[in-house]
Amino acid sequence: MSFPSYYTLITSVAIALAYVGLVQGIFLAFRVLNFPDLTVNGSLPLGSAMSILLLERFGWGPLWTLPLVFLAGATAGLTTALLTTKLKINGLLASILVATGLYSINLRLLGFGSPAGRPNGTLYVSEEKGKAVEGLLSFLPLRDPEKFSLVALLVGGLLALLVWGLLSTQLGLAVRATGNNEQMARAVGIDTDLMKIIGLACANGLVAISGAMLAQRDGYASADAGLGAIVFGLAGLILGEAVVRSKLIGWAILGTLVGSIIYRVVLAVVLAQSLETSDQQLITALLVAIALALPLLRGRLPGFASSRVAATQATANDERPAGKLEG
Amino acid sequence: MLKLQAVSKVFNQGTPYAVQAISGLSFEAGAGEFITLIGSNGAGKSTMLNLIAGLFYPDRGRVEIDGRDVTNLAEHRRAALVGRVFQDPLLGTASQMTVEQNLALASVRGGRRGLGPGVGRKQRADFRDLLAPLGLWLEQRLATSVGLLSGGQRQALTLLMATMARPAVLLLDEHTAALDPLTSQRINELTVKLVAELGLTTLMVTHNMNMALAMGSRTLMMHQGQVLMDISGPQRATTTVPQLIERFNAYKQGLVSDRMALG
Repeated sequence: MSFPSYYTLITSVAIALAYVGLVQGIFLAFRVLNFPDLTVNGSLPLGSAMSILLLERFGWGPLWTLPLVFLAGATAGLTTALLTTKLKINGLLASILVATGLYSINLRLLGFGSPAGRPNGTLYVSEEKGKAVEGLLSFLPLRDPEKFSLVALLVGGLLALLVWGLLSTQLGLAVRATGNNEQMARAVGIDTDLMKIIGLACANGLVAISGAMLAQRDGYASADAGLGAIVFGLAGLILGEAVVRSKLIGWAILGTLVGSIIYRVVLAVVLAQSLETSDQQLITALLVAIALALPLLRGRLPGFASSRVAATQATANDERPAGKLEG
Repeated sequence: MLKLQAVSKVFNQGTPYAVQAISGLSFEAGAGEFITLIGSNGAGKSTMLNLIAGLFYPDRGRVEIDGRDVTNLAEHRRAALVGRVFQDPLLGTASQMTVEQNLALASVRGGRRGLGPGVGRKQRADFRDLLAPLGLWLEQRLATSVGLLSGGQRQALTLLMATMARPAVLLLDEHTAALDPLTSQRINELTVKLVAELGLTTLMVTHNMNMALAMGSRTLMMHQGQVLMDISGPQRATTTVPQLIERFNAYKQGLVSDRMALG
């Protein structure tokens, strides 16, 4: 068995930390709001496109692009929420519609102001612009994974604190109640439509920030970056839940950070066994399947717990639906 | 105070499956009145409660709570006026949230929800005082997920949540039907106590004829979307359960005309 180099590992951590926003966005939508939101497949590349566009064509500093990127992502989430709450379109379908529409918008953004003036699939940060923005509170140079990790950890940690703080407010409790028991939420006077709008807007804003940081690290934005985004995000979420087993909301949010890093490091180790990068999807699928089966395996495999009692307990615990939040 | 004026509601209007759930129903409940509501399945009891709570709106007629016309007011906007407890103990609380978070959600009933702390320190003390009289030790389990509580504990909590903000109307839809006899009795005692203490105008649906006569001060019987019997005072005091069941069956078999029943 071969091990990845230090450089590969720290790069994995850097990518993982850039992905934290995506995992947190998916956490907000899937776990807190109980809403299967596929908008992320469009809002992730939207964040990439917005950020690199502002950086390359308008000379903004990478960090300064993030507030606008958040707003762009939030608008995407808002659109999905309006389609499903006000126009009563099925939530899953509404999010797919928005993600599909965003693909064209992202191509437009990537081609905006280009010499040809046409929609384009990718937008690179030119060397001169890359150098020019380095000084502006930048986490470029992108090629330095240690420095990037540090800034990404800061951003990811800040976002985690922010999400945790917001979910603990009166408004946050109302959002959580909407996802947990909509009938009860309305009965105590919560405007559940508004809560879905706020929740999905925040979720996709976070996802867009994630997309921006990934693109800044890569040095380019691509419209295809959203393919499979949902599965990568879910992998981080589910691995985090398998490791941080507390269902208290603060721990669950910490789990998004931990899970994101575990996912990328495991991926790096597996890929180091003379596999191709293109095998990533298959490995991810296997990882998620294993993580989901873990509660049961814990009781059955000799390596974990030996007794049948543990297995029964594991099944009993499962009566509380897997991944549901408490506290 | 609650007032329904000539309220009608048809489901699936314009289809072969149209059902006249409520037809021209009028009635009035005085402030602090505790009314029990009986009637066979499909009589329109739950529909009436849902019309008052605002889950849907009447096709015709007017609903007034506390002197305010709420006929077409959205459910969450009239929540300050209406407290509700459902038959299913799982429906009234958020299972993944803690006891104190659930109470905090209910305490802001109808108010603005801002970026202040979800559960305040002072609130926590209030919640303990509120829970202690239940004798369920919930005051020591404020941080426990509600999903870990029993059905009876959840229903008691729901009842507190429905009443703590002193709504103008309390709606109870067979709220003890899913509980074991002993727990059911305890919840009923708690209901009577809370309603009396807070002076709440209450509407309670039940299939238990004993409860219907023993609790509250007035009993309505519904049939085919209308109130066919409305007894209170001495007339109610002398009515026995067998008499009630007799009438009940008479309506079902269509033997009694409206006039006879009311006369």
